Amino acid sequence: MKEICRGTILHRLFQTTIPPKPKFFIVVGESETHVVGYFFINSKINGFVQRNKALFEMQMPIKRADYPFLRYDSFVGAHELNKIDNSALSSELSTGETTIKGCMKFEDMDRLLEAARASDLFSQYEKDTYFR
Amino acid sequence: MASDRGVEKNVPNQNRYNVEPLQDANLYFLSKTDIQELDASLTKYGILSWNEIIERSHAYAWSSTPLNDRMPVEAIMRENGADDQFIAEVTESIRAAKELN
Repeated sequence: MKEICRGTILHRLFQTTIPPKPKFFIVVGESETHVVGYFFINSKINGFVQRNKALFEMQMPIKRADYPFLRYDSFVGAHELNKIDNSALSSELSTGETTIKGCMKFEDMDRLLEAARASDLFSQYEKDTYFR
Repeated sequence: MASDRGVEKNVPNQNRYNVEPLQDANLYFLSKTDIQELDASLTKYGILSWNEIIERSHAYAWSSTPLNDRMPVEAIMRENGADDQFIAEVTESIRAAKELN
């Protein structure tokens, strides 16, 4: 399997969003049972998230200048930790449905994890497993 | 069923309507906001009568879902007045995460 690790930024075309759209997402950690935790990256913050203080506080801006594969300055949607089995992600990478685009800068990843560890949105299990 | 016995061990029936916990909940897997929402929901709905709960929980989302199926989050949002654009925005990451799995 192609190497993925904390900070790896991935890209995939999603068919079930309305409308279908390409999205970036970033790996933040992996459990001992090989479940990978990730956050989506969005070019804008939707209205629902903007109106909820706890969710809005977890939108971390990142610059296109630092990540040239992005089309726009964007936000890591760190309000919602998604999970996928490592084997499923491995299969996605081997078929080319999901591709590796780059890696988050160390200082950005540090900032992201620090915010996630302090957030009330995540359980202690998620903090111990994916953000340690 | 084994799962029913597990529930009875932790929350035995006091009478037909009430149960009482015998042990503390394991909160390791819940966030502070999860707990706040559960508490808010219990406070809001725990005082309602059976008929009031039925009335509030059997509106559009229930009636548009086949019996015993899971109510789609889109239907729940629509019941609360959300339009297509709002639903598309809010469910985007849910749909994408589901597709990826």
